[in-house]
Parts: sequence; C-alpha cells; structure tokens
Amino acid sequence: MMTTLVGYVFKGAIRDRLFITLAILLVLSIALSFFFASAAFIEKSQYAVVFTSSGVRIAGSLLLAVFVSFFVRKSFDNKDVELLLTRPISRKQFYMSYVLAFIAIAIILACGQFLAIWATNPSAQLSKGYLIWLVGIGLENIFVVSAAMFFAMVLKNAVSSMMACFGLYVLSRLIGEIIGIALSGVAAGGVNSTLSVVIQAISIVIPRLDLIAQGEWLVYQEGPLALSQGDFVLIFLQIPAIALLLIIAGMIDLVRKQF
Amino acid sequence: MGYKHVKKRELQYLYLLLFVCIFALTGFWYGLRQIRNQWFVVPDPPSKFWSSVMAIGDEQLAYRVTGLTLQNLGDSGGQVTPLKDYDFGQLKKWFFLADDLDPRASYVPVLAAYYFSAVQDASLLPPLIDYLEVVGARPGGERWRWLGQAAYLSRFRINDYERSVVLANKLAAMDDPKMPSWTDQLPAFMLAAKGDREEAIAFTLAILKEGAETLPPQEVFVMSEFLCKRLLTTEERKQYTFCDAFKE
Repeated sequence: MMTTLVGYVFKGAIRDRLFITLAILLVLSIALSFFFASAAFIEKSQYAVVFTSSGVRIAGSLLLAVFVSFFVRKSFDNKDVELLLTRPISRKQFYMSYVLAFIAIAIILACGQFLAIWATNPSAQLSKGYLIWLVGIGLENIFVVSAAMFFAMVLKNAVSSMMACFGLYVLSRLIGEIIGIALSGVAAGGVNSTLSVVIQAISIVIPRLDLIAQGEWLVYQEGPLALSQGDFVLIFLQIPAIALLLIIAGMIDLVRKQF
Repeated sequence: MGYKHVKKRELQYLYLLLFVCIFALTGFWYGLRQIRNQWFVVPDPPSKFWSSVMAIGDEQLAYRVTGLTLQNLGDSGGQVTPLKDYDFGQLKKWFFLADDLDPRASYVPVLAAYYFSAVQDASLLPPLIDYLEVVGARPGGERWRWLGQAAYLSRFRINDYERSVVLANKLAAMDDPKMPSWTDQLPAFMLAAKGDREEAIAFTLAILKEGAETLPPQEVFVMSEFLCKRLLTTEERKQYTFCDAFKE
C-alpha cells in the first residue's frame, strides 16, 4: 500500500508538471547566469557557476515548498486523505508514504540542480567540492520538503503553509549571521540580552543551511576548508535530524487530527 | 429607460474614464522620462554581515555581486562617470569588504589594479595602493602581481619613491620560486630612482653574487648593464672587470 501511495504522489507530481517546471527553471537560471556573468571583467566562468548555484538553490526550494504545500492541502480539501485512510493503511504509514515520495522528489531535484551547475562548466572535473555540494543540496531539499509537509499538516491554507516553509528556509540560511551577533556580546543589556537568549534557543531547531552547499566549494573545487572534520560531520547530521523532528511532529498532528 | 440603454451609458462613461487615464499616463510619461538616478559619490559599502544577509547567507554570491557593483558603479542607466569623480577612500572600503567576503578571488584586485588605477588624477591613488599592498602580500597563487602593481603605481604614478622602495622590498622578500627574477631585482631599480645610489649598488652586487650560478645569463647581463652604465661612476667601474663589456 505504501508503494502505491508513493506512486500516487509521483503521478501527482507529473500531473502538476513539477519536473517540466523544474527543467524550465533550471534552463532559465543557467541562461540568466551566463547573461549576468558576461558582464564580468574576468572570471566569467566563476560568476556563471556562482549565479547558477544561487539561482537553482532558491528556485528548487521554492518549487518544492509550493508543490508539497499545495499537493497536501489539495489532498485534504478534496477529501482524498479521508478516502485513502479508509484503505488498510495506518495514519503513520500514510504520512511516511507521502514523506518518502517527497524525499525521492527532493533527491531527483538535487540531481537536476547539480546537472545545471555542471552545465555551466562541463570541462570541470567531478571534484570533492562538487560532490559535497551535491550532498549538501540534497539534504537542503529534504529539509524543505519535511518543513513544507509539516506546515501543510498544521496550517489550513496552502499559501500560508508555503510562506511559512519559505520563511523557515530563509531563516535557516541566515541563522549563522544572527547567532554570530547574539554570541558576540554586541547586543548587550536589557531587551537585547533577552532577545539574544531567545534567538539562541530558537536556533536549536533551525538547521545551519548557510554552512552547506556553499558557492566557494564550486569555485575552488574543494570542500569546506574552514571547518574541522568533526564540525563538518555535525553539520551534515544536523539537517537530517531536524528533518526527522519535523516529520515526527507532522505525524503526531495527523494521528491526532479528527476528520 | 431600458436596462440595455443604462448599461450602454455606463460603458460609455467607463470608456471615457479609461481614455482619460491613458491620456494622464502619457502626460506622466512625458514628464518623467528624462529623469535618471543621480550619481553623487561612491556610497558607503554595507558591512560583511549585511552583504551576506542580502545574499541569503551565501558569501561567494555576495562577493560576486559586490564585484559587479564595483565594476558598474557610476556607469549604469546610460550614464558614464569619469574615474576622477570617484571617492577612492570609499572605494578602498568596498575593496576590503570584498576581501573579507573572499580573500582568495582575483576579481576585485584586478579591478583595483588595472581598472581603477587608470585614473588620470594620480593624487587619488594612495588608498588603492594601500589595498593592493595588503592583498598582494598574501602568499599563494599570483597575488604578488598586485604588490608589483602597487610598487609600479608608487614609483611611476605618484612618484612616492620612499613607498616604492618599501613595496619593492616586500615583493622581493616573498619567497616563491615561481616568481620571476625581476621581483628580486626591483628594489635595486627603486633605490636608484629614489637617489640612494650606494644602497642600489650594494643591492645589485648582492643579486649578482647570490645569483651567479642560478640566474639566467640574460638576467645577469641586464643587472650588470644596470650597475655599470646607470649606477657606477667612471672611476668606480674600473673596480669591476665585468664592466669592461659595457665600455662605450
């Protein structure tokens, strides 16, 4: 039954033209990147790679947030969920089917994004930097679908869910800078100290997306030099851990939901 | 009146209103089309934090956007600004912002060394030389070229001989076997230009002595000619037998 549901989600993705939209977005990203890079004095290929990687990252996250939010809310609004739950499948299995399908789509998207990067510089070898970037973007996409799934469960409106997911994504990209301010002691005294503590508490459940899939890994074709191996492993484990937290939270919401 | 007649009159009023709006917009267009963004001075650069925020945490993207901003500063929207109108003190801050974002890339140093340095008013160059001195002194790659360019600008553009000697010595002290031999010889030329003849002679003799077996013959020839024909007096030349080759 779970496999059938996964196939159902994939069919939904094809029906909603997700992969075609992705392909169009990637081609547009590459074209725009080359256009902007052509204005650069030197290092045109580096410019193209950086602009493409930034563009496909944002486009991929937005696309996943929109698709997951609208697909899940549509399933609830059209009573598809209630119909499917009459079949011999538990709510947990139902939720996991959706999550596994979305994760598979996220990984396919990551491969597409990677191909777009490679297309900007086909002569580049598959170096350590490129491969670590691919893993990073895959984890980022998995985080986005987990978050979108959670918000789609909790919020009644697809647009609200999509905006909440994208807001969390942007916060995750910026949390490194914000924590830096909180820990530097610059914001000292009164309300600022309290806010510093609050932001540090919030950051427990916010992944450090600023530390993965960095543009410099593609430009210099090497992995993160500024991080120790231990830190590197921590960062790449934190994201699946937060994704798992969101999956469990969404599952709890579905199990407790009364139709 | 029938409903159809009322509807027709309503539509006529709406069409009239539409036409008035289009006419008004044409008037606005006519009045606004010549107005452009005014270019005043180089603006304050954002901090590294805000640059990173604007690029949603991606410092490499922030660097590339900063580079393109610097390249096109004052020259967008159909405007062209002469380099002499730029505030080079502010530009220096932008250069160091880019350096904070990515100390390894060459884009902004190239802009500073070969684009902004072309300013005709040489008195504007010191802040640019300050920046090239810092980025050029870092080991690795071919960053030494920025230091060489800084030495060139000090000597030939702003005629600051003191500074050109300091920069040339810094360049010569960089221990990189891939650097060409002129980087080792540069302090001699700068000392000579400054008027420190004795020091220039001592430096050149040291190069010839240390490089007797390692320097290519053409380099030995150039340094010997420089010493014999430009630094030594006629009397002093007699002390060095190799100067006989350069007798006129």
